Amino acid sequence: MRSTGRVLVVDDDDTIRELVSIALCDEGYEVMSAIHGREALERAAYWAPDLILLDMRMPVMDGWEFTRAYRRGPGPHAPIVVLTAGRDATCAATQLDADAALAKPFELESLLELVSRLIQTPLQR
Amino acid sequence: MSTLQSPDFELILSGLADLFFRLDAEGTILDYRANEPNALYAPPDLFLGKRLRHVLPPNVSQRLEDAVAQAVRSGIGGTIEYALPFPDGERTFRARLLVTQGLQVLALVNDTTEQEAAERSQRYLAQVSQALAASLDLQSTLQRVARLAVPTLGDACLVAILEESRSQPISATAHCDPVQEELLAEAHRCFPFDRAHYDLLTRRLSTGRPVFLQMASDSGLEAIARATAHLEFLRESGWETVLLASLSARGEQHGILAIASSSRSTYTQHDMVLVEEFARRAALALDNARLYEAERRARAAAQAAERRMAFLAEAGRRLSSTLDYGEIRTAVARLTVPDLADWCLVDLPAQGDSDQQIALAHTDVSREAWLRAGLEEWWASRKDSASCAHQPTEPLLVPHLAEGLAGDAGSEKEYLQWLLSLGAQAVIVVPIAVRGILMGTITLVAAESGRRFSQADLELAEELGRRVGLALDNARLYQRAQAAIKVREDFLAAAAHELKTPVTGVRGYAQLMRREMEKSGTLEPERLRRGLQVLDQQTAKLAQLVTQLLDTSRLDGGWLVLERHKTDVVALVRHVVAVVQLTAPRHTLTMSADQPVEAFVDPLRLEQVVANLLDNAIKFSLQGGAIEIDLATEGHEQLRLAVRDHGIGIPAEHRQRIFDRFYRAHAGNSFGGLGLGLYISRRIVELHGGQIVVDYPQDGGTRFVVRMPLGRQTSAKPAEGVT
Repeated sequence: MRSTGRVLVVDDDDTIRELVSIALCDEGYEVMSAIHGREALERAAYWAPDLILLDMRMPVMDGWEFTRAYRRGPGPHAPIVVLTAGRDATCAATQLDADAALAKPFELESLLELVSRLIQTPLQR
Repeated sequence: MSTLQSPDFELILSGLADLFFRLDAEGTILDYRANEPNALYAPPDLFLGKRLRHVLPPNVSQRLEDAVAQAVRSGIGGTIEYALPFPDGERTFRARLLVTQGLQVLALVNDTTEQEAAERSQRYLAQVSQALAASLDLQSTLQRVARLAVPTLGDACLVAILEESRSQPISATAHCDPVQEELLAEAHRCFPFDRAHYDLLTRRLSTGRPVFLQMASDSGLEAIARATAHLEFLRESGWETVLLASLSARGEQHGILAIASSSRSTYTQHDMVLVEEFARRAALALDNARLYEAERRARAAAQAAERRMAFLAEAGRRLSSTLDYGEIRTAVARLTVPDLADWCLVDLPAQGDSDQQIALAHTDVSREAWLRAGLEEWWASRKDSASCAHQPTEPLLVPHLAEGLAGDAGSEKEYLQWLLSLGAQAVIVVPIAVRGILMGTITLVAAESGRRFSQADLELAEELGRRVGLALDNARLYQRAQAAIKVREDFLAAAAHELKTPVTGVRGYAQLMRREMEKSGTLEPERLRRGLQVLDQQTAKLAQLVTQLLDTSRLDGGWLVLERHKTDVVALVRHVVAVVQLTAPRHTLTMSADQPVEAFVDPLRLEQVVANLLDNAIKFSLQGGAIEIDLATEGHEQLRLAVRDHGIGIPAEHRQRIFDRFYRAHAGNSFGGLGLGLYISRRIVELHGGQIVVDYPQDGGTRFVVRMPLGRQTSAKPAEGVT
């Protein structure tokens, strides 16, 4: 069964961006990636993703700044999953009012399950 | 007649009276007997057979003749007392009259002069003791002693005592004539009885017994005159004699008593004894007063010490409860008012604050705004307003500000003048120092209350200054410790992040490949190749991080040792540049090196430095672009390696610390890294005897420059460690 939906992967680490993109593509998602918050804002504006996977620590514009700017912009707003290697993934997610959090290093299975669940039951924002 | 001459009778009579007279009813002296011939008023041939009225002064003879007549009439004798003038003074007598059977009168007369004088003296001394027992403090006891001495002992009196704790004697005077007393007191004020005169008179009393001085001659007066004008005064006083006595208690001389007299030219033995006895009682009373005062002073001192201890304890309590400069300033100002001062200014500049660095307190809180306004106005009027309001080096006590400023008050003058202009009357300024470095000052001001500042207040303020200094030192150490803890925590967070990122890649790819294998039973060769590449790269990154951590640990412990070899630096740098270029497709690394550079260095460590600089250059120029590497020799002694990027640069506030351990200029912007690269690079370069600097070209970006000795001559040198 092919999954459908658009996922925007935002991470400054090339390897992780590539890894997550390949894994999601394999599942049938449409994937676009961005290397920092500003690029993500631009891409989200014209591409309208169904879900955003967001790293927190990035140059130029970090995850916190991106979230604030993204939610201030015109909707609809995709759910955000925080991906962070920080000690406080859940804490960051709570502060951001993100929809879910995943601490790096994560299990690929967990990531795919989470994406699948959030895309099938999109939250009305 | 014969009856009085009988030998038996004589024996009895000799003990009964000094003089015997037989008189008839009219007072005619019929017969006499004198046991004490000196007591006879006139020679016997002048009075035998004469009536009393022809021998004695009329007022006395009248009374005596009346008494004799009365006794004869009544047949009952009696006693009568009278006084007669003798060349050496008046003498008193008591006569007992006995009526004989032949209507004659037998008068038994005793000379009572000595007895009366002794009784008078006893009464006087009793009065003295009583009067002195009532007084307690020293000055009033002194005054009372002087007053009690006149007129009984002489016309004028000076009492002086010298206490151990004082350099000058304290004294009092009295005179029997109120007008003269005024003049004497005035002279005493104008010509104070000082230590020199005290010692002069004391020397005359070396035997401990009273000394009698004749003042008739000028030399006597000159000896005690304190000035020419004082000599004039003494001459006009017309004193003939001065009697000096020592005031001694508990075996020690504490003072002197001087009694001057203008009417008496001699003192009898009895007078001398009386003066001596008076001096003894006075000395006792003064000693009691002295002890009482000493005890009172000791008690007051103990109470003051207790108050001071309580104050300092409170100061310590409040200071220990805060580590903030601003809070310490305010706490100190509040603490001193109103207990110690009417106003208090605490000038304690902390790093980075300029406007509110002076805390102030006023007894009347509503006046604080006024004081603050005055302070700001004064401050604005000064040119170097950035510095301390004043720079005292020593604790300063100005007990009377108006007078203190008349003289040269030194560098404080301007500040004190300003305080004076606001109504300050007395000022204490003490330093706040930390480990010998002046950090600020505390100014205590006495104004509205009219309080006075003593040496003890100054000492208390100094102690307060010291305690504030200690509190600040503690605060500084605490803040430093906190900062160190924060740096370490930040480092741990960054290290966790840095280590987890490659692990995420490695595990993710492993899972991705396994997943594909499980789903389709096979693995696409391209995906396998890419997977292995990622595993390789990410584990290399992990290894590099671990190496950095180990290097830091080695550097901190002093165990990092250089292994120098003769190295072709151009080839070494070219190799690193080529390797790094592979990982940075968005950047163009260009290297220029116009000659071969050979140096005696640790090649692995130098590679590490070059790689670190290139990593930084790439990391901080995200959008890619040119990175220029330039290698050259400077003279024959050193090499210069410059790495220039065109990235985001380093904000000015971070530039000082970029070579510090764990320091990350872009920490907030979430650039990766442990903050160790530049630190390790700097230490490696320093180990080679070189240095690393950074400059910021006008057109942006950053340029790191490493200078390092070529080290050609040091080939014999063994491996070097960090010292």
